[in-house]
Amino acid sequence: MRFKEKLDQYTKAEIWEEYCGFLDLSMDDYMKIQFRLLKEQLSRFASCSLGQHIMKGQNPVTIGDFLKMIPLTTYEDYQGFLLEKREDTLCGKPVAWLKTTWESGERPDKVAPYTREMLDTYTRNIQAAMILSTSDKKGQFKVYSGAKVLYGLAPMPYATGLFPMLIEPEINLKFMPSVKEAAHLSFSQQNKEGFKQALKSGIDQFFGMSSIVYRITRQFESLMSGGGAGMKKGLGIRPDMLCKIAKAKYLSKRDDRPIRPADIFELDGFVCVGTDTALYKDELEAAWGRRPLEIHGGTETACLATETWSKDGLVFFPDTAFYEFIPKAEMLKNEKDPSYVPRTYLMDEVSANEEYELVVTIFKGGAFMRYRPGDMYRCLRTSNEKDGLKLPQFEYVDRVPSVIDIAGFTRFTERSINRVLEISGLPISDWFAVKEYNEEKSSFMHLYMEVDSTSPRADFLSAEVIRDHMSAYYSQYDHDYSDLKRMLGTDPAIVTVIPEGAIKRYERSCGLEMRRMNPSHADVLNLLNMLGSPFGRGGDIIE
Amino acid sequence: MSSLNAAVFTTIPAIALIFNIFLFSTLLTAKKDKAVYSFMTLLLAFILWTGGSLFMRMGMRPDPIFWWKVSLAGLFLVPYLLYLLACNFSEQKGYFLKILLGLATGVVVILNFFNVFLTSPEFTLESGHKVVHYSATMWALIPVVLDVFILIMCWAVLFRSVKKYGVPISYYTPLFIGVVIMFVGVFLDLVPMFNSMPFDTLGCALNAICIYYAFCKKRVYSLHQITSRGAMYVVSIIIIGVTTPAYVRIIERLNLTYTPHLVAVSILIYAIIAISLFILLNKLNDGVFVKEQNRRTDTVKEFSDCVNSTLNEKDILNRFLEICREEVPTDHLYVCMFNKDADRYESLPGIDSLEMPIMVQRANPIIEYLQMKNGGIVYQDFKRHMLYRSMWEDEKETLEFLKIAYILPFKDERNILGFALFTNKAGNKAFGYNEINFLESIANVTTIALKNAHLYSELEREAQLDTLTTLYNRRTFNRKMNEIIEEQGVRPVSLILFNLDDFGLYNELYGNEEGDIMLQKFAGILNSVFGSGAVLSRYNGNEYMALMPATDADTAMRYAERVKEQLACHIESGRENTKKFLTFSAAICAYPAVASNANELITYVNLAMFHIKHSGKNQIMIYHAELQKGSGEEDKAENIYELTSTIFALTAAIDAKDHYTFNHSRCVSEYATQLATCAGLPADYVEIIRQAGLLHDIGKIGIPDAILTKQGKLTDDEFFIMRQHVERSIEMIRHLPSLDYVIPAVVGHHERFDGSGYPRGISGEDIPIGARCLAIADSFDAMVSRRCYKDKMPLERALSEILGNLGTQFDPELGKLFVDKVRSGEISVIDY
Repeated sequence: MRFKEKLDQYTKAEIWEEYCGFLDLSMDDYMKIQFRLLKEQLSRFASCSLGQHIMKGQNPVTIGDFLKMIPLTTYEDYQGFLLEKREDTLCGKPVAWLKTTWESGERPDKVAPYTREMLDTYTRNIQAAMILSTSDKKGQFKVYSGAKVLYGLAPMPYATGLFPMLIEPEINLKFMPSVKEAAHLSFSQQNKEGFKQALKSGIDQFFGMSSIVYRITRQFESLMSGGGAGMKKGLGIRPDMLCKIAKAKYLSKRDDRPIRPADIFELDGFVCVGTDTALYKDELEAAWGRRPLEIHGGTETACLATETWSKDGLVFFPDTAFYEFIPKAEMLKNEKDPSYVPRTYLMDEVSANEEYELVVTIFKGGAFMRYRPGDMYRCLRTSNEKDGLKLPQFEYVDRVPSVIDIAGFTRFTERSINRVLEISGLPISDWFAVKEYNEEKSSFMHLYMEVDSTSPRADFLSAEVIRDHMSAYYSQYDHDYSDLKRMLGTDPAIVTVIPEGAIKRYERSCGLEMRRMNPSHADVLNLLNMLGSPFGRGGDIIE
Repeated sequence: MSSLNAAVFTTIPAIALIFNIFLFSTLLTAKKDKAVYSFMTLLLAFILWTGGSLFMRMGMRPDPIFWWKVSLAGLFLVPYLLYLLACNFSEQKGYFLKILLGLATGVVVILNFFNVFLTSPEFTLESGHKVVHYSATMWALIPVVLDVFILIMCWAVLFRSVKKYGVPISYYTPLFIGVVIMFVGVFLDLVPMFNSMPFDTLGCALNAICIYYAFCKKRVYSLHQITSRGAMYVVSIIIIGVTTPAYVRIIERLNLTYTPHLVAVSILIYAIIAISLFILLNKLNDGVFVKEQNRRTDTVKEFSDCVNSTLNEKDILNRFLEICREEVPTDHLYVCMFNKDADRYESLPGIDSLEMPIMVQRANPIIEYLQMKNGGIVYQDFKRHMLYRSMWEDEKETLEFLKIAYILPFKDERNILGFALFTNKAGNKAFGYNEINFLESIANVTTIALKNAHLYSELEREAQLDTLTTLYNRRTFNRKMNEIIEEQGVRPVSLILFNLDDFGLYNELYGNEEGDIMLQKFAGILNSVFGSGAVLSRYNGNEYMALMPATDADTAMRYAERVKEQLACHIESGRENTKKFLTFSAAICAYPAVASNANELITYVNLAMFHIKHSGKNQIMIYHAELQKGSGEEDKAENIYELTSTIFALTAAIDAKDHYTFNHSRCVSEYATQLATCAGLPADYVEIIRQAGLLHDIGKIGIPDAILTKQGKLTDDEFFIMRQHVERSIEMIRHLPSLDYVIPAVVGHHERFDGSGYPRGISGEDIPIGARCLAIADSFDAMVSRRCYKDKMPLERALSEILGNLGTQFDPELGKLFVDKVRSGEISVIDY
């Protein structure tokens, strides 16, 4: 039965129970689902070549055996099977392959197989998110056929591109632009076209990557005026929208403030996806008049978690993956000494206010077992009395420190930066990189670089020159980087030149080795203090 | 103005009136909630409306004008009561509006009786038809505006329910249609073109039907559920009550024309009509509404009688399937019952025409769902439940592949005995309310019958099994053996007799409870080795039988060896070293090669077992004819001689290794014998204690000389080795024919009365009395004799030591007795 038919035939309480009933589960019932589906996945995994490779011939039966026998994995463990899309080696027949970049183009794109059952679960979970996004109170929501949906999501084969494709057969929504139309447009054109249509006929729901949504919000007025000649003349715009636009312009003039999306649109539902969502939420709520609902997942993991009606903390879906959590201290220990096996905790073992790296085993014929997607979550609380939740709620912190993720589009690693430095031929003797945010809350990578003084080019290398070089080579090296630059309109990396030998000197002074990717905030401050400049801004040269 | 066509204008309101009365009376027996009450009130208004209209047209008393006002009052009440119904049906509140609109409507109804809105009607005859004339006043706008407002409110309530609370619009569709029909009727009545028919009352009746349907759709009740014989009485009474005045009027007219004595005849005719009406209504009720229900009730009763007359599960289920197929035909129907051994539900072979059996694990979430729910479940509903999320894909696929639509459990409280799987009905129709009720009744009856059948088969099974090991008991085994031998004809059958060696001793050492556990474990080992390849039995105490059809003696021998390996594995994995000595002997005989029938098989394996027991135990032997020759009774005297010589041989061996231990053993034997005699123990037991005393330290033969003769204090490791002499003693003695009876005394001589001794840590009278005697004698001799590392202890001090440890180390009574006897000289101290 389609989602639309269910909406017609069942009461709201029944719909809520079906899609959002997992929020009423007790911890024991939640774990029961987890253990049962894990058992199924283990038996399926044991019977395929990939499974035998990962499980190294072991056949765990109990959860204790599983945790003891199966090693934690990264994409490298799967690449021989997945990159060649060897379907016969998998434990479920894939019906879709999604992709994402792997270490900013240093390696081929990562691909992840999706079985029919995984897609079914994905569909149900995003329907749940859609319901929750329109809800302010438990059991109440406003989802209906014919709703107008603006979506700013990266297209297929990226994971977010699945959203309209999976939802469209289930309920008649008016996507802006239509899925068919969007197939012929670039991402940026898709966003522009969607916005244009939204202005003409209004929107009921907005699904978008937080960075894109934030950008649309910041540039709302200019986007409105840039809607084309037709827009300016009011051609094709519904009369009610014309009234709303006129009223918004009047209010803007009267109150001497820019036009806000809430002046024109009245959203029923608002969903944001992406690494920096938490950062933008308050501002987005103020602008759109509705607090965005945050969902999280990834290419390898599908949609893993959603916020509830109170939009205050993520709850993991019980039937997508088996979840384990590595405490941050254990993760750092393992980062320093890769031979160290970090301890993992299950969903019913996490503690409030602890930060964890997520480990997942994908259910329903998925390819990943005890896989580390590289995401950090903080457990906000282990239950929520106010909302009547008996499950832990989390907030997304960021990627693991060894990865710098910008706007959910591209990821920088130590290896990829070294590779770009190598191909650019820049005489950089040492460096470190930190993820930072500008005044507009956009994230960027701040590279602190030491120029090799023995190089004949050393004198000519200013921070701008280095950044331009880096940018140019990175754009060639990683297509996501150039896309991101185009979409955000700014360079996602800035450079500060620091004196040669500063990093080594600092390391010697404190007797520790400083991480090159995302060193601790204290390390960065201390190093800059040592150099006599407490704040290194992009483009500076610290003498 | 309205033209009156007597026939049509009387018949239609009469039908509408009867229909409304009928609906109202049927609701009297229904389970009521706010919505049902408001529907009943609305029906009352309809009754006023249609009844008033009918009686006005019939010119009933008191006068047509009165009935005209009644009809109008009903009409004015309808919008407000529709509003109340909409609020209650959609479960919405709104007290303020309800009260306000109620007051306004009340005022309108009262004013209506004072001709405020319409002038008083006048009845005239035009072209042979009775015509009613009336006109509206300017105040008529008030009820019109009020009713329009109320109807808008009605629409707002339902709209809010759909939009805000997400109630499917289909819930309200019949309500909307009904109201539209009613108002079209009222409107048509006002149009001269259509006023040849009373469309208003017709619309009113149709509206009532629509509302009724809306209630049925919401499953507030079913039509079958609410009709009853009582309701028929009410309907008859009301109809008769309503029609009697009209009849009286006709009779009055007749009186004027004909003779008065016809009155009596007419009353009789009316009585006959009334009775006929009641019979007719009952027939209608039985035929249309209750007939099906009654038939099904009879079917359930018949089914109940049938299944309760058998205790055979298969017969019960066959009858269940039969009745389900007859009454609720579906494409397919399967029954799965719980298989305790496999811990899952399995479709029954021979019942379902399935290529592949259906297997549903007990852990399948659908079982938990069935436990949670009362009665059957619609599979689509389960798919929407949270438990469905933990279903495995192959579990889902099985049910999807079979196209299961409805699952009916046989549920005994929370215990699911089994369930029936119904596939889709023809044309994918949903299972109806009555069908589900019927199936649940059938399932309840089936459950009781199945439970009885299970209890019976359980009792039958228990009667065939040994309660401790759940293997067949001797009687069943003998019967099965005869059956199998008869079945096999000339094909080979082998019988293995297992006998656990020294099991009496095992029980004595570890207690009967531990012994029972071992018997169960041994049965488990036999089950795992033989599987379904043999008929197994706990034949007698510590004896087991395994009958292997189509198996020769050599193959049986290999099986027996596997049992030996398994037992050894089990013993090795045991925690206590002392269990190591548990072994078994096995005797094998084959049919027809050696034995010619079942009796001979049993005789020969017993003979072989006797031989094994007298040749060292712990063996597996195939019976052969030679064994019969040496099976005579042993001479008891010879035994004793053999025994004595064995004991002397052993004590001589100790003497050779350690002369002190030899003397010590002799003395301990002597002291213990005297103590046992003084304690009044039987002579046989005294003899056992004497022999136990001689042998109690026999295990020291295996202790290295360096430890045995060490002059200083023993280290912990050395002490640990020294302590092992008790186990070593047992190991040695149990291999001596007919000496194993001394073991309990030997093994317990280092136990302490308070339970802190070794090797078993038993206390009080759990320590065999022989062991308690030996413990006193052993300690006393150790104290009063000289050792290489110490001098003799003075006698009185040794006795005080014993007295000081009564109840902790020594048996208080025996200890005191011993001290008394030494002091009195009855037990003399041996010097060596």
